[in-house]
Amino acid sequence: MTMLARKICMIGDFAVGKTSLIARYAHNQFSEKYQASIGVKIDTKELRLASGDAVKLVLWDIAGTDELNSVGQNYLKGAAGYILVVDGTRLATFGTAISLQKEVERRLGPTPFTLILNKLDLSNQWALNADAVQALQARGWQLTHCSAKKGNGVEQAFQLLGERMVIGVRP
Amino acid sequence: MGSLLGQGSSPSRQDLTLAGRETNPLDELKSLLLETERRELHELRSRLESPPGPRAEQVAEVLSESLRLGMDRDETLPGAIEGPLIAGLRHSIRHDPSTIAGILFPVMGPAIRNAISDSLRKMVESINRTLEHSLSYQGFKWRLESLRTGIPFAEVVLRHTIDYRVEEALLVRPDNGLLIQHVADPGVETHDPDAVSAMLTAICSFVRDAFLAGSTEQGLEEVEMEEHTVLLVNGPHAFLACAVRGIPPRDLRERCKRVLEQIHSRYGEELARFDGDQESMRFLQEPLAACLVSQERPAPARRGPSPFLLLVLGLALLTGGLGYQDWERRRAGAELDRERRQAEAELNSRQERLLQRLHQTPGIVVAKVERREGRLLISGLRDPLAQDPAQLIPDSGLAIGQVEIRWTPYQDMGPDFALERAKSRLQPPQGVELALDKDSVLRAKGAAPRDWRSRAELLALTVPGIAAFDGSGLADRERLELEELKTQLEVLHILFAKGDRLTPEQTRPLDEAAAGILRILDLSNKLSLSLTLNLIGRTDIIGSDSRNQALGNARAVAVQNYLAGRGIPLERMRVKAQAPPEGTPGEDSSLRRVEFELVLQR
Repeated sequence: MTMLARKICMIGDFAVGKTSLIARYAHNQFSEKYQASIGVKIDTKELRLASGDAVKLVLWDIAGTDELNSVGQNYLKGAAGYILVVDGTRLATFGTAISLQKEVERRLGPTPFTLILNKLDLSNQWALNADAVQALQARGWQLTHCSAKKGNGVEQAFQLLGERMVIGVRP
Repeated sequence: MGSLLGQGSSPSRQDLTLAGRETNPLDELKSLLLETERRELHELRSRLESPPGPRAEQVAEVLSESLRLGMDRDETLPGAIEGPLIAGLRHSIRHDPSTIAGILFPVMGPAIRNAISDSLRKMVESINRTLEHSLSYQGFKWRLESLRTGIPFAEVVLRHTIDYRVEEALLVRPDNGLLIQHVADPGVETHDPDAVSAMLTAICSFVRDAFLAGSTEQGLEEVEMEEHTVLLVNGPHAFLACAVRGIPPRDLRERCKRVLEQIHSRYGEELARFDGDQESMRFLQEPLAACLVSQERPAPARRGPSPFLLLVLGLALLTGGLGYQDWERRRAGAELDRERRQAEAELNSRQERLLQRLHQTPGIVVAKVERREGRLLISGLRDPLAQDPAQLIPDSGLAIGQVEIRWTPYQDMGPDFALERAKSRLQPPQGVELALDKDSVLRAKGAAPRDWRSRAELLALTVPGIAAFDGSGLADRERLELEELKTQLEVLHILFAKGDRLTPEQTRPLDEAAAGILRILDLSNKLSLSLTLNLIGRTDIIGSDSRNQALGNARAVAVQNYLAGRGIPLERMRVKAQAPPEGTPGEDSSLRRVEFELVLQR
């Protein structure tokens, strides 16, 4: 059986939960120390698509930042897709995700991505305006509400991106 | 108080009293109020002014406790006592060094011995290696090489005798870090080469960015850690990373470069087009495997005896014992290593066998497999009706303790499991068969009790995987039984002798009839039928009609009374007499009887 490998980057502001999402989802190979030292940590995960094909996702968890430095830009190279992560309890991370998306698209060209609104478990502290979220959805962005802590929506978000990458849908 | 202390030049109580009487009343009052305190002060002063002997005793009592408290409260104490301690040691060594030497002997002896034996071992190893080769044909060749190149002979020997092994080679896309192909020495445990290749790419990128910003240099070429080295060779479409155990010789990098160049020249287009499909690049296994080289110390060459050698051998014998021991240890180590690899390969194949069996077992979904310290950790989903996976472990050749399985229960929605689940939930009685058709309709066939049928109609729809229940193939078991009992009862005759008295011979058939009637009553209740039991008394033709009518009636009443005594309700029974049919022979005793007739109505 054929299994394609695909590079995926996790992008988002500080402490939005990128590493926790990966820890919830993927097989951990390397220590988180790498992220502190060289700015990235890599994990892999096999994904079974609806078509029955399998994809090996090589997940590059790039250290949280509000703008991409030169090292971060290099880590984006050759990505087949990316996941923007927003902390639903911090409005600023939403703005960061939108500007990061522009920056990434400028670097990579049109590339499939999905946006995760994380920390759904803290719904009582939710700061995102429903209108802003709807506006992005109207632009064709695919948004998933997740809780890395409880696991809700995490698998679905990766699955959605996997399907998009293979059929080549770009939001 | 201070003034009192100042005055106190230890006057006796008598002096004070006399002085008070002679001087003024204030002093007298003072002496009366403060007499006790003054006496205590006097005792304290005399203690302070006492000779050093008793004072030293007092200090000795509290010294150790004071030091302990001092250590707890303040970190300056060790510093404060350092000076006196060193001065004391210095004095002791100058005065009599043997005391301190005696104290340190048990510590210093083993440490010195260890250091010496380590140095000796290294020296013996070096002598062994040089001796082994200096007088052989190969040694002669290496001596020539040393003369030609100017490299010291010992170094040439070392270069040709070092052990190394290329354990893994990874061919990686430099831009996105995706693994193109990976080969490993059999017996080497590899860790997720996809993640390793991406991480290597990230590290190279980081080093280039952090230290070579703006430079066109390729960046990282070698990573060393203890006895491992990763050699990195860069190419335009792929870089090659070789993990080496031991000390790689200088020409290994050249060999890796050649391999990468060959791969680029023959398969450059394929490399440029690589889109993550490793399977399509399997043809690179062979050229890549050329990197998996190793070198082990060659076995010592056999040499003929030579007079010159005897002298050297004499020397060699001195160290030979130690050298041989060392060689033997290494050989045993290599043997153990080989056995360990074999055992690991065997363990892997058993683990794979178990995983394959699990994959093939219906109702089991393996979600995650980890290997940790020789143990297999499996987690996944299991339908409670699926085969117990623990039974598969011994079949695969593994011990129960080598596998840890964590299952989350789930329900397999396949038809086999839905049917099994339905059987377990509905518990069909004997004589009923269940089958599931392709539209997930559960069909029941056979004779079933009515209450089971009505329960099954409801329960079946609560079973996951069952869409509908079809009981049209079911017969009413109660109805069948009722019909059978009715037939049995209606052919039963209670025979009488002349008259209407019941005799003991009639008891058995009557008891059988009573049991049958009670069961019929029970069944008719269940089927909501009303029951009437007609007891028909008959006679022979001897005697008048009116007499026979009365006798037939009396016989039926006798049976009715008996059955009532066995629990049959009177209101369910009707008695009547019936004349014998015309033309029956007069002496036929079988005519003297009571018959049963059962009438069932809705």
